[in-house]
Amino acid sequence: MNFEQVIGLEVHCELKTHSKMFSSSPVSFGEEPNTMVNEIDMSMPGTMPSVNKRAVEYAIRVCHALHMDIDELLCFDRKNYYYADLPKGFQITQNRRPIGKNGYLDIEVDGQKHHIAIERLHMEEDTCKQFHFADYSLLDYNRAGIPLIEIVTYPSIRNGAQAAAYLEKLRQILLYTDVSDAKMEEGSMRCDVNISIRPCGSEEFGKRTEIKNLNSISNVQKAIEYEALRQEKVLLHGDEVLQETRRYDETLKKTVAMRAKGDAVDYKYYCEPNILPIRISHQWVMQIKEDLPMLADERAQKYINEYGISTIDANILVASKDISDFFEETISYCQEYQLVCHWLLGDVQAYLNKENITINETELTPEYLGKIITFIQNETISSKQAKKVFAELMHTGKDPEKIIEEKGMKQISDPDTLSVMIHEVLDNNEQSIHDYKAGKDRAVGYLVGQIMKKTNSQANPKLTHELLIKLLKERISDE
Amino acid sequence: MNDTEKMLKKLGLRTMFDISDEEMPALVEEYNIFMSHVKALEAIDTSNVEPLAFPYEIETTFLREDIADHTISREDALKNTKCVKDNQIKVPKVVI
Amino acid sequence: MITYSIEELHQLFKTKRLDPKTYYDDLFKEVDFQQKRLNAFVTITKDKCYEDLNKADFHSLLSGIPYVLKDNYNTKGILTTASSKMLADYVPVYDAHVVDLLYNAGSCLVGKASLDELAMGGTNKSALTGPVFNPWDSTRIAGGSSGGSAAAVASGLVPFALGSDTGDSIRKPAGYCGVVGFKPTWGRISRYGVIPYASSLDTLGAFTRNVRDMCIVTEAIAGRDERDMTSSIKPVPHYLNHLTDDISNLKIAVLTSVSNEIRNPDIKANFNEVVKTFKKLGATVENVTMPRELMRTLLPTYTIIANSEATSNHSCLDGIKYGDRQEGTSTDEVMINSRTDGFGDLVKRRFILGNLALATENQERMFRKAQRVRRLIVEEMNKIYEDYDIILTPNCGSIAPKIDEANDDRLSDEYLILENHLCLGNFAGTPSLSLPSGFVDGMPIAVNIMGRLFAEQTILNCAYALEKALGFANQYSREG
Repeated sequence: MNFEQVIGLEVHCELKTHSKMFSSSPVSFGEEPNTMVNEIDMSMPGTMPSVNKRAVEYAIRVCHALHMDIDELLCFDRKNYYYADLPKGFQITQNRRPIGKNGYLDIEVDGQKHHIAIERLHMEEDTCKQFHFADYSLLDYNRAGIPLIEIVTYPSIRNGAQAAAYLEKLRQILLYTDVSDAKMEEGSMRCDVNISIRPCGSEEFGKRTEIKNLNSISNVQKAIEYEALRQEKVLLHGDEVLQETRRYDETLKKTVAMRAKGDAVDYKYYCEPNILPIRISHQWVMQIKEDLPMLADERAQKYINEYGISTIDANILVASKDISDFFEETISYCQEYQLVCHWLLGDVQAYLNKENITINETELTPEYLGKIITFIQNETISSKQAKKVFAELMHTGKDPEKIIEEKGMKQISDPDTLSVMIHEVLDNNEQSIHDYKAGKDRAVGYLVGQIMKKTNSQANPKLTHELLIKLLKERISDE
Repeated sequence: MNDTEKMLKKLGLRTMFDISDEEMPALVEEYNIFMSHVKALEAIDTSNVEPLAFPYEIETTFLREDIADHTISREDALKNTKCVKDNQIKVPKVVI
Repeated sequence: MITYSIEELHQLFKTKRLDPKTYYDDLFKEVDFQQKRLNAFVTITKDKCYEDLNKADFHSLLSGIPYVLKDNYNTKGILTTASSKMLADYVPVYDAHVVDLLYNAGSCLVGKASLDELAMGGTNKSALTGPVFNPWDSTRIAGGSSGGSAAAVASGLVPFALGSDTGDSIRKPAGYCGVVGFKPTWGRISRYGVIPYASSLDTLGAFTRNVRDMCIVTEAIAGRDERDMTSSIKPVPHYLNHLTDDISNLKIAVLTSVSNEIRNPDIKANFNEVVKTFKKLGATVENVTMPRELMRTLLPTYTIIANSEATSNHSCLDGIKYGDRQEGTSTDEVMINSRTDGFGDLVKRRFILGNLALATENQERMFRKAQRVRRLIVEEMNKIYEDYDIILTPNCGSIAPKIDEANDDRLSDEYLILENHLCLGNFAGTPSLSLPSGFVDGMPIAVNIMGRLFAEQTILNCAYALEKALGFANQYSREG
């Protein structure tokens, strides 16, 4: 029997606002425990929430990017349950009326396009962070109250590769809309998977499991692939899939049962009585749409159409927002679009791979990269020299201009100076002139090498070649 | 324990209370009063009546500006906590 | 020690005819004496009070004026228990918004007053520190839940005290203790920093011994606070400046659905006298009714909404971050053990039943049903307000009960309507003031004046006129 996978994803994403969702304490990462809190985050008795405007703006940005219908009346609800990491004993969220509804994201897997339907996007707040030790846990409230958005797809994903492609694309959107760091490894983007399988052609849904604890996109894919196979085996064995929560164990490369849905908590959602419905203006919503930063696809189109960059290169450039941002800034210094692209995807990317760092962690700035390329273009240095300058720059952080000066790398491009030097070399290499005359092209290469040696490689190669041929011809005709 | 008592005992635990046998009769009595309240409401026709979650229909347009200008000291944050370790609140190991 | 109104005390301090230090020394002697008699205080904040006094310049009306807070108002550095074992040693690290306002006004905090545990009750008998006794007869209750605040004002210790009112928790004890109690419009006063009961019903307000003082205090604590998103941006009027006893243009509705329930002939006669007085003052007074079947749902609607919101509001009290903590082998066990130990029986029962009504499988039939009935009730009230400025009712059907007779669960019809109608003001969020109207068996009784949303001034004017006509302003009792 052939089975079809039915997958829905729930993605939580921390917003990088200055202050928290419902309190004016700072949003931070990696600070000393319990130093970035106030009485609201600790849920001290008598405290009340007040909604962060920028968090709403960020949520609206993502809604626009996901083509969602936006509810201009913001309503909040309480999700009631008791848990160590939940300071209030309830989480403020949007249950009845999420800010965004009915969106989609188009993805491509192996050249095939898929339309992933998104059910909802809502705003809520993060819990405090737990650190688990052998026989106790410690609670740090710095994370408590950080704004979150949750994006829930319809069960419209059919395999792990699609899920991974969706997550990559969604992550790109979160980065390009500039609302989140969206780092799955650090937990600023989290994904839960709902998965069931059914015989191909069936319209009914099978019993589903939920997979948690997925800390990378590749793990999401692996977990789905494992879980689909597991469910298939269960069904083929004539058993029933249990409706339960499982987690992905990275070392075992398996999904492992956490708790059965039977004793699921009842969240007892009801309207948050301390937040009146908030009417946001249509004009503001539209303004946010207008001001929406250019997304990856749009940027790639621009690179292809306006800068003449190949489709492949354009897509690689926008795959990382860091690189794309760096590209955009570099071309404000140097309009050699294709050269900038080649440098970024070539030497720069090779360096990043080797060092395993991101571009913002290096000494390279868009201005410096622009300078290097400009110097190549105006023949101040050769491409070969440029590589040396680049290596030195990455090592020391020095301005390329200064490196060139210090290392005496400036090309000799003055025809008169070069001509004098070429004459000297020709005077000392009579044999090569004869060889050239005899049609041995090798002689030219040898002579260029001699000139380079004499000029400490500073001779402009192109000009040197031209002048050498010209002077050789003169000498031959003089004879 | 009869069914009502069992139900209330379980509901108690879900509300994070361990209701003792001594407390049970008073809880059952109050539960019966509560259910009579529920019954009293059932007598009212509320079809086409929306729930009223606030005393009056009111909307606001206010949203707080995103300014991080209020923290309390760590000392104050943990001042009323009974069990602190390494500047964090210590609890028995939370089972994941 | 002589008892003064805010205005009198202000004049005496300002003109230096009364030495503040001497006055406060005498005051704290009297506080100690009354505390032994009434058990009104959880904490007497003498040191803090003298600190406040040192800062007072006596220029503005509330500067240097002593006052009392219900012990559910957060006070930075001062024990705030909400009369619950759960918070028996809880010392807040922040002040409630109105506490900030009164501090800035220069008022001097005398103490934190007892309440029913977490304000959930009407007798003040569930307080961790025990019942509060009525200043007029210490064998009777002061009422609740703001019993300590009512007793502090009714014994003449302070000219004003703050309370909180979810169903009638200011107005009921005010009536029992013969003082003025006012619950303004929901949203008129920021609730930030006051330990809640049920957020959609909770309103802060004051006790005073006369209507003029009520104007002063209400104006001082009202107004927008961005930390409470439900607080109104409407400007706060100068209630005292606009106060008038000319009520000849007022239209008053006597809600006979309530007043016809009165069984006590003396209370009935007193109420009729009040109605007659209003007519004499030139107001238009007419009888109105509300559907009886709806009136009989007041207590059920209130119980379900209040307990449901309360159980959620107090889920934060789990022993982890603050409050009573009892150890266990798991975090769940710590929470269960702490909450089981930290709350009184009555509160536990109500949280459990609140949880029952909120449960997803019951919510439509219970909590949301109550919210729908609430709308019907409010719509009926609004119909009356289309034609009338004021709804007049008796405050309740009896004088303050004896300590051992007072009980939170009675179910007769009389109890259902006459004893619970004050929550009408909480359902609709409308302002509601209880004013002393006389005595029965030596105990004070009162009437209640309700008005439209944000029509505080109309209510204060109406109460002022009645107060002048009846002559029960500034009463208090030190013995008895």
